[in-house]
Amino acid sequence: MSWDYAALLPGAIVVSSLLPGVFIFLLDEESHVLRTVLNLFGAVAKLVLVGLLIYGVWLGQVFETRIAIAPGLTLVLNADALSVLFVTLSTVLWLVTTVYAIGYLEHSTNRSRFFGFFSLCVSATVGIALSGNLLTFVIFYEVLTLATYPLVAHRGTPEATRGAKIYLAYTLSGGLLLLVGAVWLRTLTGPVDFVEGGMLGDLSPDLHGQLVVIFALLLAGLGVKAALVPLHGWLPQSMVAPAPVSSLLHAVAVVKAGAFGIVRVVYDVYGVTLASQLGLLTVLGVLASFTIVYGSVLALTQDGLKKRLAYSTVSQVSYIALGTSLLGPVATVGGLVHLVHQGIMKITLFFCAGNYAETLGVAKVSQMDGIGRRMPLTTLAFTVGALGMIGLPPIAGFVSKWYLGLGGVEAGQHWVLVILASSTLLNAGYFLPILYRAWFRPLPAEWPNEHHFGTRFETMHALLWPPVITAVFCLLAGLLAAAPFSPLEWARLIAEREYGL
Amino acid sequence: MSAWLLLLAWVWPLLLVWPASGVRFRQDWGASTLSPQRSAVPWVALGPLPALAAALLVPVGTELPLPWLFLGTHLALDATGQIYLGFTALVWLAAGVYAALGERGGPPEAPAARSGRFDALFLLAMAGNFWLIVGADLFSFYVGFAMMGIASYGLVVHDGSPSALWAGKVYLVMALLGEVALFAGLVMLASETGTTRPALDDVSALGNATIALLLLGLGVKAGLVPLHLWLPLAHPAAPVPASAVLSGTMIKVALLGWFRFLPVGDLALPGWGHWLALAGLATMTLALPVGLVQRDAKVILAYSSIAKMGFLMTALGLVLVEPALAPVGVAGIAFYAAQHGLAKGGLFLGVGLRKHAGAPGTTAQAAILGVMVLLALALAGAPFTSGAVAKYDLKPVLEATQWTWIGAVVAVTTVGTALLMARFVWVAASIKGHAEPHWAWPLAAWGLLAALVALFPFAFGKPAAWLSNALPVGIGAGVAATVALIAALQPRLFAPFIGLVPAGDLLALLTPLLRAVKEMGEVFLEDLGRAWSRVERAAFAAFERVFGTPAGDVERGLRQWPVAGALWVGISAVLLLLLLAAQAPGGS
Repeated sequence: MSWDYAALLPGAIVVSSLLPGVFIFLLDEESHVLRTVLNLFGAVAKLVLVGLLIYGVWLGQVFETRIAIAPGLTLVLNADALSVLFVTLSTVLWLVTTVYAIGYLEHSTNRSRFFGFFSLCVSATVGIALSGNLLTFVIFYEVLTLATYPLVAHRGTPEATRGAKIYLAYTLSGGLLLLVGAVWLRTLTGPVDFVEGGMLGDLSPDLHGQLVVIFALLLAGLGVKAALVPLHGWLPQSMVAPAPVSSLLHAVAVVKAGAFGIVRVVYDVYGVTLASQLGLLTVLGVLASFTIVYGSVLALTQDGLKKRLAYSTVSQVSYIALGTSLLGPVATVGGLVHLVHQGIMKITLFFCAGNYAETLGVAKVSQMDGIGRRMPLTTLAFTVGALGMIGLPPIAGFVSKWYLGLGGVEAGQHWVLVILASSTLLNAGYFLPILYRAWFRPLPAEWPNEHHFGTRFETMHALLWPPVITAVFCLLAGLLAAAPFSPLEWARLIAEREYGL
Repeated sequence: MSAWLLLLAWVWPLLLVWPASGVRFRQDWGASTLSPQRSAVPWVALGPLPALAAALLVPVGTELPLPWLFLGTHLALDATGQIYLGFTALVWLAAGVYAALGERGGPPEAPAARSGRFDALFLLAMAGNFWLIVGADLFSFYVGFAMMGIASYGLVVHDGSPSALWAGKVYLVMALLGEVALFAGLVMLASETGTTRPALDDVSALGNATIALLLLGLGVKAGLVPLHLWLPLAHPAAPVPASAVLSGTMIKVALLGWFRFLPVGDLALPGWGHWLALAGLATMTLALPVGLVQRDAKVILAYSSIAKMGFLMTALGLVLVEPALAPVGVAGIAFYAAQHGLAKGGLFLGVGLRKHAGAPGTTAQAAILGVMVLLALALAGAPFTSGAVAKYDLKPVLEATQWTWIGAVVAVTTVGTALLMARFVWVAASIKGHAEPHWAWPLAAWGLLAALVALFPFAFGKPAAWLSNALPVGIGAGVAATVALIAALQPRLFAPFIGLVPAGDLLALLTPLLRAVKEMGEVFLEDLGRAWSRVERAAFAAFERVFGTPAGDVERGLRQWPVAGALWVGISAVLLLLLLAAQAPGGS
């Protein structure tokens, strides 16, 4: 094995946020500038490295870092098309969220601790994305759990501590199940490498019974983070976290790690053909559909803006699982592209929710009357995100919805259209009233807790521009969906490789 | 070069959205007034110009493939598209001039902010309307349809009155239902044809479910009974220029969608064709009498639109039954839609002009009423008007069907339409106007629109067409004159009929049901929310009991640093030994 560029790159991508993270822990609370420089340096360096990676993978180059940690246990970081999708999403959104977090936490305490764990969290996410085998995946999955806990508990209020504890209880139990499943699988087959098209295809049919049980274990473990009903209870509770954390949790890190894991297990461990033969896809499809509808119905009942968004996440992330559960490349494209689309749309919505809370003290839907006139740019970004969630064209969400619907019909599963239609209507049911209040109701005489930041814009720059930028991403991902290097085109590339087309 | 006009037609209004909205991102946010200024430039009136240029200059058959845009966009202009683009751009232009230069005021509460919002949404809806016309792929159609549909909500609720909000709610719910049905229909169409730019032979193999979804999804927009409930509420609730485009152009796109996605002219679909024709007849039968008993001029116009759409749906149904009629039929329907769009847009704008442009008794007011009478005659299809010519073009379709009785039914509906228009003129004549400044430009644009409607038969129709319809319209006029005479002598005789059926007809019957469903839904949701939080609380309590108990003696002992450290070192050592043992030769 030579330590050349192709072997170093995946490792370097993980380290590029890990190292700044470690240094940030050591920093003094007051070294504001140095911390900001480290943060942004890490984020930008990672972005550059990922750029190289995208180009290489597109050309078909192989990137693999292997580190033997014990006999028979190898840490493999490997970049295939699917990893690149997730790595790019997390890297781009990490940069944006870092800027947002710097603005958001301007005057709070324990910033070194916060940004240290923040960097660890992203390193773990990237590690999950680049994992080349199940072992590596499990390790980074657990690191992610532990790195996020202090972020959820960051505020230190009793509520925050409780939310964080609940989060930990759920995710650690999930992690345990995942570990058991992974070890069991290893005893059957040896090292479980992720292979496009699956690696269990030639296993003797006698073992199929065990494979089903293992799948149940893996799914339970991954389903906790992916917030599949009934394993979603932690998600609305972890809303106590600061806004940048919620954004990252919902758009990129935790929830996506679960969904991404499901995709990996179905496509690259079991293989979609075997999973379909064993009836596993049906189970997944039913769970996902139920989650989609259930999450949306609960979202209708929430007055807290962040809670409403949280239940919306529960619902929307299951689009990814739904796409995975349908046999056929078109549905795969729909599920995978939603990995990105849900991320950019949801992070926009959470940034906006944070802006409302920080600038005006508005945390409830019922307080949002006329807010579009006080914060037009933020509310425009929110509008784009919300309409995208409903799936209205030309915003990104429509692209996912189209491919999921088409994939369902191509697979002969016409009920998918019913799920998508009800999800559309339910999403409209809880997002459109917000938009109505924001744009059509008169302004209140006074906001709950208004701040002025001394800019000519509606709020601080570091808070204002991140949601605007991600909202532009949402529009571009939809409007240029057929252009080269769009999320959609990349998802198509993955589907082609998974199905060997 | 001119192909790029197809792109500019809808991109241009989108570009104008921001300047027109008057939103300022930089201002003193602490100040008490946050109302943006309405721009002095009449952006809204400039919006439709590229589309109009495209309709006039771009030759039929032009294509502009933009494969990188959205999910693969293909702009093109066919003959039907050209007719549609032409009349749509004209109606938007007249309405835009009216909106930008006429309606300066607005409700007392922050008028400028509201008009900025209105202008922005107006341009968005306009862009959607043009995009779906010039797009040959189904994505363009759907994007345009959705943009137009959602933005129009803001136009309907613009004045913020309770009735407008109610109309907006009904509109939005039905529009969304239509949207999801259309989405499902288009997905199935794409799957069945394997393309997103279906040509005629592609759509000949559509399944029944697909056709049903397409008919339902677009039927909401077209006002197909009983999916028309939103129409008589929303069209009158919206401000005048918005009503003009809602009724004049937006509802017509349903027909365009059906031309594009149903096998019109390729395959005989007797089942669906007859069904659609009957639904169209039912639509006319319901809309005409209900319209007659309305009080509000705009409601009467809305019902007239429903009836006209019913007529066109009947014609389309007959074409579906007999594909050989398609060349005549499709052109005839598009032509009729254009004529109706121009005339109806003109009538709606006329209602607004009656109210604002000139005090009662002035010559201006008399002239406006005169032009409105002409437009109403054109709509009723009186001889020598565009209505007669348009109807004449559809005659072959009506005569070719095996349903010989249909001619008689259509004649009766023509009488009905004439009566409805007479009723409209009656109501419009009694509108009391008041003089406001700034109305010269809207009047000029409106006059141009009316002139086009008036000249239409001489430009496009054969002389033989000029006299068609004379008999039924004459009967209608006669009956109307008689009724008017009686009503003038005995005003009480007809009074009980007026307002007999409220606007939105069937919705009034449904309202108690809807309210019950809503209340039940709310109770259910509340219960669900409450039950769920109870479960959550119980779970947390249990969780706290487990994790919140103070540590026992053993645990406290283990937590002491020397103990913990020693244990950790010990365990590590054991593990290391095991590892070494495993690797030693002879180990397993």
